[in-house]
Amino acid sequence: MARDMSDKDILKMELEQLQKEVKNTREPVSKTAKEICEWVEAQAAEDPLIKGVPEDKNPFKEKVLDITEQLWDIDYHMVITHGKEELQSNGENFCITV
Amino acid sequence: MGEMEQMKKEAEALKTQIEAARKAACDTDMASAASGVAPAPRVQLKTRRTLKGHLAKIYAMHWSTDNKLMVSASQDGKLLIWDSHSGNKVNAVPLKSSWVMTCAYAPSGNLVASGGLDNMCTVYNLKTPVIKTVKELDAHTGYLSCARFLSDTEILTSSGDTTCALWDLETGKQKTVFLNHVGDCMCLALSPDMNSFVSGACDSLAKLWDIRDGQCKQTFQGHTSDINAISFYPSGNAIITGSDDCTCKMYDLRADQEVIGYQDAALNSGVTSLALSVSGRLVFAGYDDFNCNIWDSLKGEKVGVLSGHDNRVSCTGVPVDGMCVCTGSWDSFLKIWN
Repeated sequence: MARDMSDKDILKMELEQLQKEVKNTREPVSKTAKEICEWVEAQAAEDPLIKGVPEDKNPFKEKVLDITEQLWDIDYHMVITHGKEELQSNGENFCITV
Repeated sequence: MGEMEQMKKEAEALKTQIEAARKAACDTDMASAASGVAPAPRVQLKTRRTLKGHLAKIYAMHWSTDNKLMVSASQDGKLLIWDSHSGNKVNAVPLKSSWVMTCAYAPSGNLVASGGLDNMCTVYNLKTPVIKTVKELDAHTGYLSCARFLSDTEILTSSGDTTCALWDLETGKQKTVFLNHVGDCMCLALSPDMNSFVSGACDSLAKLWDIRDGQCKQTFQGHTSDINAISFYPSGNAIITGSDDCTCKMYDLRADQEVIGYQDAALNSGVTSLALSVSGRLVFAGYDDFNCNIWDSLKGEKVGVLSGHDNRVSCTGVPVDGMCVCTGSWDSFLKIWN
């Protein structure tokens, strides 16, 4: 750990690292940045946070019970007769008073 | 001349050489190279889920590779495993030490890990009938700031003791210690090909390491304070860092230098966390000022804000399928946006 090292040892470690890194090859930014842009542009078309997530395909869409749909699913007669029907969906209770 | 003086002189000469080589490669910058790229659309994301359950500050979160489950860590002394689709809690893991700073989900989904001021990385098996601690990785002499699984048998950690380490989860021992930073290591990120990783530290440097030979290959300067967050660009040839100096930067690995910065004169809060959208175009950066700003990574412009937390945004994460972004906060809530 650098904490246990003497100032001299730290300096030696930094120097050795610089001796290695000075040998690294460096490509021109004009080439590397252009390649990054091209890569991103190719991927961005399919990036859900850029193109948006359609409501019907969104696993995180808000859990709102569509009351209209539920009414059509159950016996309409039953709802009218009983006046109040408890519907359960996803463990949540909804009451409809007709 | 004393030996130390001699070494300092040689180090200065090498730094000058490296700067000259970087300058020679610096024939443009990212914003200019991206001038032909269409602007990113204004990004307006809605909160789809607010996950309530932690009783204290959230310090970390990490998505499972299944894009549904995620783990969060809070100083209430718990890891919570969430089903993000339903918003339900699937599991709770009580921690021996509540001073947690990081958590991680293994790619297999079988294990999670946590660590913090206890200086240890604890690994838990989620698939046994009762969640069990499978290993306590105990060798760092400073706090555990970040952990990332390579597999069910190897994990990388970064520590306040200035080192990073690769551990063998079968023996519980360090296989490789990565020593070169001179300040606390605050964050790490694995490369897409898993052969290397980058670390950010309180010495304001980011370093690229070869996982197998243990060597530091490249060092990136420019930040003027602690680097708290780091991520590989999905293309694998750039990294993004976030710092207490209130800026984020993109460093190009092949040009060996900074190619663009993400900053605003009006922003004077440190960056705590960052995550990238799946194409890399959007950078979600969490700040001390309770917001998460969204940056266009190619043009350097702010294209949106996620506002909604009542305290510092401490962690952000985008799942592998890129379908949302999650923010976690000291306000004890996690929010899912898309």
